[in-house]
Order: sequence, then C-alpha cells, then structure tokens
Amino acid sequence: MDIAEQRLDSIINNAGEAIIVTNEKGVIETFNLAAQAMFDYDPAEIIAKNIDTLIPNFLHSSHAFETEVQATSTKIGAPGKFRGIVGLRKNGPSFLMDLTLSEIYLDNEKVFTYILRHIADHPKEELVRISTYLDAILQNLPVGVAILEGPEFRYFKINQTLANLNGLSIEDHIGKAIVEILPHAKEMIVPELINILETGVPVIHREFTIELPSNPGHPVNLIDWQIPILNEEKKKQAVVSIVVDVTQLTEAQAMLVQSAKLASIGEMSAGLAHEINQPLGIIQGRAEIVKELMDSNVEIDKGKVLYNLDRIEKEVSRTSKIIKHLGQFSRQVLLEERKHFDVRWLIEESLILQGDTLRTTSIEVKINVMDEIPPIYCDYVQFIQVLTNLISNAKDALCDSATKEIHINAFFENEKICIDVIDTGCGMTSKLQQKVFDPFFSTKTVGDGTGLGLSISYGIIKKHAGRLTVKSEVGRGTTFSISLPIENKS
Amino acid sequence: MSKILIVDDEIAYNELLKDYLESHGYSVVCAFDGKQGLELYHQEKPDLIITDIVMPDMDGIELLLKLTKKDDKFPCKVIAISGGGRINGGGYLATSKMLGADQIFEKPFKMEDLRNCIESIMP
Repeated sequence: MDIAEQRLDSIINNAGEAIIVTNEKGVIETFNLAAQAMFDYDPAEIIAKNIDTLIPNFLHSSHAFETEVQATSTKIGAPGKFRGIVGLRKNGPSFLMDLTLSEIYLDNEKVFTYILRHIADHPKEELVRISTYLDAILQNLPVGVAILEGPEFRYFKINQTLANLNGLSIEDHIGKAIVEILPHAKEMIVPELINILETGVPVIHREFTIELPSNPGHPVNLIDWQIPILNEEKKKQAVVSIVVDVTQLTEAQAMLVQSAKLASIGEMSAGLAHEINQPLGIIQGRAEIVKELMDSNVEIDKGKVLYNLDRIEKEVSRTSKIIKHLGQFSRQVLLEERKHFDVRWLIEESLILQGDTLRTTSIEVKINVMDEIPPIYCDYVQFIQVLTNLISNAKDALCDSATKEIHINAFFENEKICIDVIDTGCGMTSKLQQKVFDPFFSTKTVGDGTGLGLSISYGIIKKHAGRLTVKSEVGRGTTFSISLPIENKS
Repeated sequence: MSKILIVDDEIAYNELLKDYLESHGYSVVCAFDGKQGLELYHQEKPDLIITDIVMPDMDGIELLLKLTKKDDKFPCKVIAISGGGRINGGGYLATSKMLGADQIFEKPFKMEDLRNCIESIMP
C-alpha cells in the first residue's frame, strides 16, 4: 500500500458520514467506522457480503439501474441522491436514511460508494412527511379505519369512510370512547378488543351484524379486522380497527341465489310438464278408445276395455310418481334444512328432475357409486341444484361430441365424500377453467345461460364446508369434482 | 285402406296410436326413432307419417328434412306431434309447420281431433 492509498483509507475510515464501498456486483469492500456504528456490524462480519444485507431491495430498484446506465457513459458516475431509503441494522429494527450513491473507477475497476445519513438526524421534518403520507392513505381508503387507544378504546384517529358509516364527522369521534359513539359496541366489539389486548392475537375477517346509530332499526353486515399495535416495550397500547360494510353485497348475493333457484325451478317445471303431458296424452287417448268401445253397436269386447283401463292406470301411477318428486322438491325448497341423504338416491333424483333432456340427446349416463359410501349431510334442494347444474353443463358440453357419455362417480376418500361428474365433451382451456366459477361468466349464447349456475354451485358446496373443483383437457372432456367432509355442520 | 307410419320413441304412446287408428280401419306400422322411421318409410311407402319431434338419434325435424320432396311437398301427408311444455317444444312444432307438415299437435290431444284431421287431409 502506498502512502496515498493509506491516507485515503484513513480518511474514509474516520469520516463523519457512514461510507460503504462495494464492487460492481454490490459486494462490500470497505465499511467505515461510522457505518459500523450505524449498522452495528464489525467489518469482519460484513466485508464480502452483499449490500443487500444492509439495504434490502435497493440494488434491484430503478434508481440503482439508472445510475448504472449513466456510469457506463462517463468515467465518474453522476451522484444519485435518494431519500428515505430503508436500512437494516444487525438484529435490530430498520431505519430510514438518505443515500448518496456514486460510481468511480479505481485502477479501471468500477466501484460504488454509498454515503449514508441516518434520517433521525433531522427527525421532525421526516416525521411530518411520513405522517402526511399516512394520513393521505388513511383518509382515502375505501374501507373504514380507526385507531383506538387506552382501556376505554378512545378514537385516536378515524378516516372519512368509517366516520360516514357511523354517521358522524371525524371531529365528533376524536377522543371519545367507542361505546359513546356505538352503544352496541359494548356487547359486539369491546369484548373482542379486550381479548385482543390481553392475548395480542388479532381478529382477522370477522363477519357480524350490528345496528349503527346512523340508521337505527336497519342493522348492517360488517367485516372487521382488529390488529393490536405494540409499543417499544412490547406492551399493547392501541388497536387498529378496519371495517368494511358488506350489507349491500350480502343482499345482492342472497338475491342472486334466490333468482337462480327460481330459474332452476322454472327449468325443471318445464321439463316436468313435458314428462306429464306424455302420460296425459295416453290417458286421454285410451279413455277415448274405451268410450268408443262402449258406444258401439256390436257386443262390448270386455277384454279390450279392461286392457285400455289397465293402461290408463299405469299412466296415472307414472304421473303421480312425477308429481311426488315435484312435491318433494317444492317442500324441500321451503324447508331449507340439512339432513342425511343417500348419495345414489340424490344422483338419481337429479337425473329424474332433468326430465327427458338426456334421453332425447342420446347421452349415456353411467353412475358408479362405491358400496360403502356414507350418507351426505346436506340441504336437499341446494345439493340437487348443484348436481343438476353439473349434469346440465356436461350435457351442453357433449352436443358436438362423437362419444356422448356422462360418468357420475361417487366414492369415499380421505374421510371425504367425493362426487365426480365427468363428460367426454369438448373440454376447456386452462384460461376458461380459471373463470368458470366467476359470476355471470358463460360460454353460452346470451339467453341460454345465466352464467350463475357454477358460481352458485361453488357457493353452495363451500357453504357445506366442501370444495368444488374443475379439471379439463381440450378435446377430451371435463371433470367437476365435489368433495365434502362427512360432518359439515358449519 | 290408408297406411299410416307412426314414429314416436315413447312406446306406450306409439301403442296407443296404433290401437286407436287400427280400430278405425287404418293399417299402421310403427317406428321408434327417426332412423327406423326413414327405413320403414322407404319399405312401406305409407300414405301418412305421424311423427314425434323430440326423439333420440334422429329427431322428427331431421326425418322430415330427409324425406325427399317433390315440388317442395312431402311425398306423403305429414302430421307432427310434440310433448309440449318444454321450452323449445313450440319452436320445434313451428319448424315442422314451416317445413311443410300438414298439421301439428301438442300432447295431450284428443284422438278424435287427430282422426278428424286425418280424414280431412287424406284424399
């Protein structure tokens, strides 16, 4: 080392500012005393490590890139100045700093020098800046946010969205205890908050209904997140409360389910009307034959009369069977309760309710139910609705296929009841598969499908604590799989 | 004696029409889908076809389309029937009418009306 080099080293090492020198790849070569104090590392620990260790994500950011580009065109890089960069102290919390980054060539080798200044050196200006940013974010969030402090949970901050929901101004809230603003909070929210402060465990995504003073008599559905904030001594001192009003969403969902239910009843009754018209036509015709036989002048052929009456009886019993199914269906529509049902029986029911649409399209349905499958605990109508929907989709997928088969396989696996509805139809691309459960997504012509069938089926299975998934291959067919736990008393 | 070909996949309905029309002196042959109906048509050369519209394999519309037409008319008289009630039933029947069916019926209908219709359209 020559004198000049020694002198330079000494200057760098003892400089008032933290200075770090890295090579082109960000590997640390020099780490001066002020840097050691700032980051709490010994040179031995940090030399040869990457600068990423101290300034995470910075090397990949666009700033660093721009500087690099400039550096290739001149011998000495134009210095870049960056404010509010996050530094990572050894075993300690992160902090903000200002960075002056330059690139220089030493013996034809490009090196980077990082000159760093802790922002705490001028805290007030920085705090004001951060606080302004946070306030701007807070006030413009489309969800309600409040910060509640102390044992009485007084509003320290609240944003406009939440203030509007409560029907009061922001100023009306500040400093007041939550129970002063929301009388029902005493039983609905405060116990949760106390628990959060005691355990330190946040409440994530809780759905509940509460009456707000802004609209008495009209309870709203809310989802809330309550997160404890720890202070320096790890003592809980406040709670961040995030609230979303989902009342309209819940109502819209309920309406959608109801309209799809009505649509499926409409579809079924059209199919059933066809099923009933068939025997009615036969009864009508046979009765006419009997009348003519009785009316004729020749001796009455008793055998023929009895034969025709016998056929009438048969058709009447066929009709009453269909009506019994319909009656069962409509009763269950009203009941909406879960019971245990035999899997095979449910599958057969949904096929009967499909009417003769399968028969007339020459589709072969093959049912394969494992012998020792336990009964499904489900809502009859909703489950039939799902099965009918899956079968009807399979049927539509088959309209242009050479092989027209639907396989319905039911089996018991990993403590779950599984039903696969498989078609040998046109299949779907993976892009389509991602969308099939989206509401209003439909591949059918406008008017043929509501685009709600699968999204509602998905919702129903989810409500039964199960899963509805899809697997498909273009040209080979599609499999929809239902899997339900035996106990789904959610 | 006029010969009638009945095409209906519903066996009980097919039998009813056969019993009734035979008791009124018609000669009746039965087919249970469009394919069979077309074969029997060529074999038996009936004077009238009574065909259901919604059937597996070949439906009534396809059968009507496959009957060779002379001067845009079917080679024999045609009555189309349908189960009705289903969303597209009416549409099918309208199509059959458009294709040139002489009469259309929606189940359930009176045998007497059918017989009157047959008598009126048969020469």
